[in-house]
Amino acid sequence: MNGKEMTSWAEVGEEYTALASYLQDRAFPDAHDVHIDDVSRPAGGQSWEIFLLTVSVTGNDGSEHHRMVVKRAPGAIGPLGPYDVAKEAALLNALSEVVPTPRLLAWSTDPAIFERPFIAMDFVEGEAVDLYRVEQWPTWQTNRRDLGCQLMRTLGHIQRFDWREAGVADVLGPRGSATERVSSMVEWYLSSYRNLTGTLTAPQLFWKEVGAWLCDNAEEVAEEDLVLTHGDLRFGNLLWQGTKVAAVLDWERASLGDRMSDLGFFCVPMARRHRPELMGMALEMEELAAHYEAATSRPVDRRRLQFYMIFWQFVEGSLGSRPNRERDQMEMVRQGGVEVRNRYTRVGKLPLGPNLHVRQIAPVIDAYEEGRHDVV
Amino acid sequence: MTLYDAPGELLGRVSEVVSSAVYSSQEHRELEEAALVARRVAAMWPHVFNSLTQENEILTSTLTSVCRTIDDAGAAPPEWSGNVKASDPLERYHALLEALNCLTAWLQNIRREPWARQARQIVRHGLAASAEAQGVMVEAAFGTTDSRKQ
Repeated sequence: MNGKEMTSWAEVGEEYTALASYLQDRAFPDAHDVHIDDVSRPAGGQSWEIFLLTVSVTGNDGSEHHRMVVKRAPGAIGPLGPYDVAKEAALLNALSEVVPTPRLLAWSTDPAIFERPFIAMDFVEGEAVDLYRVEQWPTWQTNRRDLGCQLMRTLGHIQRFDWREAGVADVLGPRGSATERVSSMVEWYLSSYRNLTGTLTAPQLFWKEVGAWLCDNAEEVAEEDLVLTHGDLRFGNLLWQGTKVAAVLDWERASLGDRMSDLGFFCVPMARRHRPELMGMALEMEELAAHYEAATSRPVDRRRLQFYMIFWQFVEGSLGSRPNRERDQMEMVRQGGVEVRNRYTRVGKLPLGPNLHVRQIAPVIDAYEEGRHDVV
Repeated sequence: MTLYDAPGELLGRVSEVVSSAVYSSQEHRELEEAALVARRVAAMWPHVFNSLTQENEILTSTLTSVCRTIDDAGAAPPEWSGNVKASDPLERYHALLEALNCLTAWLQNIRREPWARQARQIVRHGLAASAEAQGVMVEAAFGTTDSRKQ
């Protein structure tokens, strides 16, 4: 997977022996031998540890090289915890014919195999570009609208996925309707706010109140009418081959939810600070609505879209303002792999983002209450 | 240069020195980050005192307004610890946030009451106005560098 900043090379030491053996059992059962030839560690991930492997697989017809990606849970709990590899594995299997995803090769939570829970997937060629760098991406500069159209088509595929028939409901969070799921997610994201021991900040107080506001205002949708939601659908979690989506990555936040949920995530103000008119840094609202409606044959509900925009800004904002964030990040730096060390430093950051996130969403909440659902 | 002005200017110089020196590649990232923090604090510094004063005024007015709404409804709010009239502005700021936190938690438990909803809306508006006041300081810090990663 390209577009992930620097790569460092790692020694193929004894810690990979059990992994090679496990891959032979699960992914290449007919092979005589599976050998990991080299390992590299791309930087720039959130908090999973990423390993790019080149593997020699020897069978009756000789030896073949395979490139694969191994995602391993980090040593310390990071912002994307609790790192449920079983969930991602179940989804990759179920979605393989529906949405472009990397092919699942193996996964395990057994620490004897690769120290911590991991999932192994086929390597997919493509570019993944984080939102903060997307304006420098040549493909975006020349084909932004086309990329946005493809994004909406991909969302259409995700929303057409029949999760009931695939039998994956149990890995997609606690069972329940849209309001029950909003409530349980609000509770989860505010769980670290329960017994605040340090100094309370204004953004923390704001998110606590917005959490209650979301629970008061969520619209009821019965579970059987919910759709699969990715929960983190943005440029950086898609692999692109030109303007074609080669793979949708990082399903750890997937759930069942309202049809407007992923669209709301895509439109969060924090994702478009430098181009507020471009939803998800891709399309203006009217274009987005037209492409969504073409991809799904369903209208955009501007009120619910606005609600889920507020919801996802709450999710990201409450994570960014959570108590002990600084302490947790220092612990991640101490225990984490190359991705973590490249993302965070021992110095830490000034907490400027939380103020910005509050300022971005407060007027949208007011607009929602006043029935001005065209405000984004 | 008064003592109140000095920290910002000094931090700005620290940032310049740290970012212009030559280090090994391993030290480089940490020191770049340290320089960024120093640069941002230096940019924020001239706005810090005014921002804190304004936020205290906004939060005091919010607290008064919420208490009046509760009082008008004939309810008795919970008591909070902390001195919301402290002469130290930072101590007062912490106490105001704690008081609003205490009231909001209580109001959320009686959320079906229309006046409780109205009081919570006052809290939210107060926090938003307070964030706008602080935003001047935040934008000055962002202005020193690309803020896309924030």
